[in-house]
Amino acid sequence: MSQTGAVTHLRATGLLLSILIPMLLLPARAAEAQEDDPALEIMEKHAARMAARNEHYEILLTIVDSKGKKEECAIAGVSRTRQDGQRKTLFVFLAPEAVKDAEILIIQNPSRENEVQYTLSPGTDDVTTLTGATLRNAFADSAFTYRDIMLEQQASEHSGYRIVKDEDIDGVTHHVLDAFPVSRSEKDERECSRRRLWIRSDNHLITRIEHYDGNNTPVRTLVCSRLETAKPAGAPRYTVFTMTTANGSKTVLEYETIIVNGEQPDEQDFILTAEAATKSVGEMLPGPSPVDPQIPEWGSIEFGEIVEFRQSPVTRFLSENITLSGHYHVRFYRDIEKDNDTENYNEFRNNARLKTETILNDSTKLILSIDARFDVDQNEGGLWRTEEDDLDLWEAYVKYQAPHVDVWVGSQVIRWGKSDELNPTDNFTPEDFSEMMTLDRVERKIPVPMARTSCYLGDFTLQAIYLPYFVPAPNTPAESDWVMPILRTYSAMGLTIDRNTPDKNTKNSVYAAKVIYRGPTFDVGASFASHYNQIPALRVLPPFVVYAYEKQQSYGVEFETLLKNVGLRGEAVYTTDDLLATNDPLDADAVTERDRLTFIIGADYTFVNDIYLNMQYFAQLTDDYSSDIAGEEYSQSIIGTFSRDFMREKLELSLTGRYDFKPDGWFLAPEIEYQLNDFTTITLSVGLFGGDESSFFGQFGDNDQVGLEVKASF
Amino acid sequence: MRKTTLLLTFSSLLAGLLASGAPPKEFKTAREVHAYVDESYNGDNSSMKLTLILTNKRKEKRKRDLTRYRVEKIPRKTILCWVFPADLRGTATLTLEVEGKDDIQRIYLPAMKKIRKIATGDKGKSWAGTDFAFEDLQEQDLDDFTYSELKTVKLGDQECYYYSMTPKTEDKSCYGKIDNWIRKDIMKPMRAGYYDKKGKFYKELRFLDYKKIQDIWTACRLLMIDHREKHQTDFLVDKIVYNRKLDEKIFSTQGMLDVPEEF
Repeated sequence: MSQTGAVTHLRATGLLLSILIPMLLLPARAAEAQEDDPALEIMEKHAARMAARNEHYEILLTIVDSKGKKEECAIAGVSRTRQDGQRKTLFVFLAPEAVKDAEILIIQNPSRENEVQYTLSPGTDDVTTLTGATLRNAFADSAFTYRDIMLEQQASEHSGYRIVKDEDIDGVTHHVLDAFPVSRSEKDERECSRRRLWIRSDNHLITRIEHYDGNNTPVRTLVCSRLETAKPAGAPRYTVFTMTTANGSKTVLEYETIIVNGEQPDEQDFILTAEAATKSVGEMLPGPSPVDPQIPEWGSIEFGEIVEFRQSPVTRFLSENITLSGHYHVRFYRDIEKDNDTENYNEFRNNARLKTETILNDSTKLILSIDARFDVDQNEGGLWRTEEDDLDLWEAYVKYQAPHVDVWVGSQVIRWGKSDELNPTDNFTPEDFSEMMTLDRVERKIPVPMARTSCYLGDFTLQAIYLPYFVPAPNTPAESDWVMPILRTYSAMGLTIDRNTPDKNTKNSVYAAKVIYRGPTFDVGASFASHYNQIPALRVLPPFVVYAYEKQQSYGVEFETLLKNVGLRGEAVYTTDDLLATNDPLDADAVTERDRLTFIIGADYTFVNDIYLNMQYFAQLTDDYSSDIAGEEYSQSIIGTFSRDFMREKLELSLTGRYDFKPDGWFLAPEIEYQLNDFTTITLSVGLFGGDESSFFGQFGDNDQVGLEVKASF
Repeated sequence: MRKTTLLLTFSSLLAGLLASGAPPKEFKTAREVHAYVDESYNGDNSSMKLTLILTNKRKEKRKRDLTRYRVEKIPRKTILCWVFPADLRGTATLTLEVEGKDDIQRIYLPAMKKIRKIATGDKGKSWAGTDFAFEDLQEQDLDDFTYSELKTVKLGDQECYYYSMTPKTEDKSCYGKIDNWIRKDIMKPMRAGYYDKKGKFYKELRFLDYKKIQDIWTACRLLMIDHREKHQTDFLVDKIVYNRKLDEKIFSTQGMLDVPEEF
């Protein structure tokens, strides 16, 4: 958009801003309406409903021409009406760059004398004055006219109104009126010879305006939608206005915010300078201001009785009881080095999730979500290959709430334990390790069918979980770079991997119980669980390698406290019959069972300047240890996160790492996360793996990568 | 220990007419005024929907929607739930005041499905990326500050009490000094100015759009401006209702899991 065109365009859009679309033809001060003229009475009621002593708003304007080309424009505006009826409105254009800081100032008087419109071009400071017939022109490719942005004053002297009929639309009675210009000035300014208005009888808001030319042909149509409550006055207003023209162009005006009867703007706010305009809409104030807030001398505007918006039962139920949310998460990873011809050099991951939350009644809620994935890899040879393309029902459960009791039934994710990254007591919902650590733990969790309950008894909470059958962690695709290298070795030896899992029947059910005490100083908990190992052990039974799962019993404890402002958390679990690999993976007895104690203890603290540090110590002690068991009798790891916020939590730099001792292995993930807006986050990350090749992380040493991800949530 | 809340910020947001009736005609000391305003009747409880608009120096805006329920009866209880943006939705912070001890504060993180005990935060740290510091939200002992001479000044057309508060020791506050303007007509805060430890003014808070809601004068808009960072936070009350029948369950770990966004 050119600079010259900007002013033109700017004027076009200004109209939109004028809150006023609904008031396009209404008398803002129709007090003189004749009592015996029902049409004027209707218009008067509408004007009363829309009256305000001031308005602050932000608007998104979308202009679509007849060829479908779209332009968007963001505008802030402020209006005030004086007690003597003089009205001033100032619009400031915020975006796009071509019209940024352009302004429109409109001054209107009840007498209709000296009404004027000024436009200020950004950069040149050129001011253009508009009055009379120039107001009827359409601007740029907008569907509105200059006249549209102005309120009608003393409409009875300038416009005539006639009731045509009453019409029922969506269960609401509408008054249908015709409006036609009467005075010479009105005829000059209006581009049409007649307008037909639809006005709701319940709240007197306009829902539709049709404009007709001298041949009685419709030339433009305005449709008002999205009824919301303006703040803080509580008056309902339409907040989306769509104007379509006979030639197929369209302009949509959407209020992003609107404050009615908020802070009363000062007179100096209505001066054509960018600074004053900005100031008027509550933007950055340059230093301590001597201008003090006042109690508005008018007091509150009474809007009269607000009749509830009539909706069909279905519409009402949907709007009041169903919440929709979701995200789209796209990630791209690229290996830092080309290590061999078979690895996946580029990985492209897409995930979309849609979630609905439906209130069934006062105590029951239904949560449903679906999850779509589309993952592709590109190997060294340049071949793109689909790794995963799924559409799954994700969480699907009912929550029932009663005094002191919650019950959840259905497919869901849970997370037990007090510590941060690792939770030894959390053995119920599996994690997707097909991308190893590149996904947060929150996103690795997969819902599984279960019933669970929590009973709240003062400071104590009792929890119970029942899974009708065991669901293991999903398999990592054989072609993935993240598949355990030992599986490739087995395949190379001609062994077939048998991904056997326990049958889905109640003999293989999982159950657990926990009691938690939440006190002023300490939170502590103790738990028992009968479950399976989530990650399978591998049992070699030529010609197969069989996934091995065993029923285990776990006895856990956990705690959490604050020492000054340092958070201390820990948990420990004693597991019976844990499956451990032996030193000879080709031995038919490559898996042995031992009891194990696993524990983690950690601390976190937020320093001044938003620096956050979290350190955890993780260890496993094997009972009845023998030298044929792979790994150490006492294995240890250090896990840490260091992060710092900048720009008021808009930007975060973080470094997450883990170091395993004997065999030494490590993982390091520096990350930059930037919140692009309230909906979108962009993350740039690096994943580094290293250490002894026999260590867990060392075996993925060829998978060092950089990643770029974008997540949009709504 | 006699506590003052938020240095007359959040509590004053809801601060209303005194339960004991009209204010005395004159106060002798600033401390009396401060205590008087702080002890204003805020209703027995309140339910509030609010919007935070964060604006940086490039005029880029971020929006936060929250719902807050609070019981004023000692020990006070507050639960704050995030409604927008989507990635924070359902996150709830429960604060339980314990007489003579530090508050108990827990947070429910819906993505992690966890309730965690949290520290109340460093006094000077920004709360949720806004221009409000944690200290502005916390209870403070009235006696942690010394008060200047009480003056009557005009701020615009408004006659105000004016006084400064200085922390007795550095660790008592993240600020070096706080100026307060209290409107005489309704005994409500009108303006506060904040100085760093070196005595340099850098932040101001404006109490705007006072409305008498259920007979309680309520500032429906707080504007905190950080002049140093050229950043501001608009705290807009979208809806507030005093003295509803609040279910005690809201202020429990059970309630944290499902805080009603609407009331």
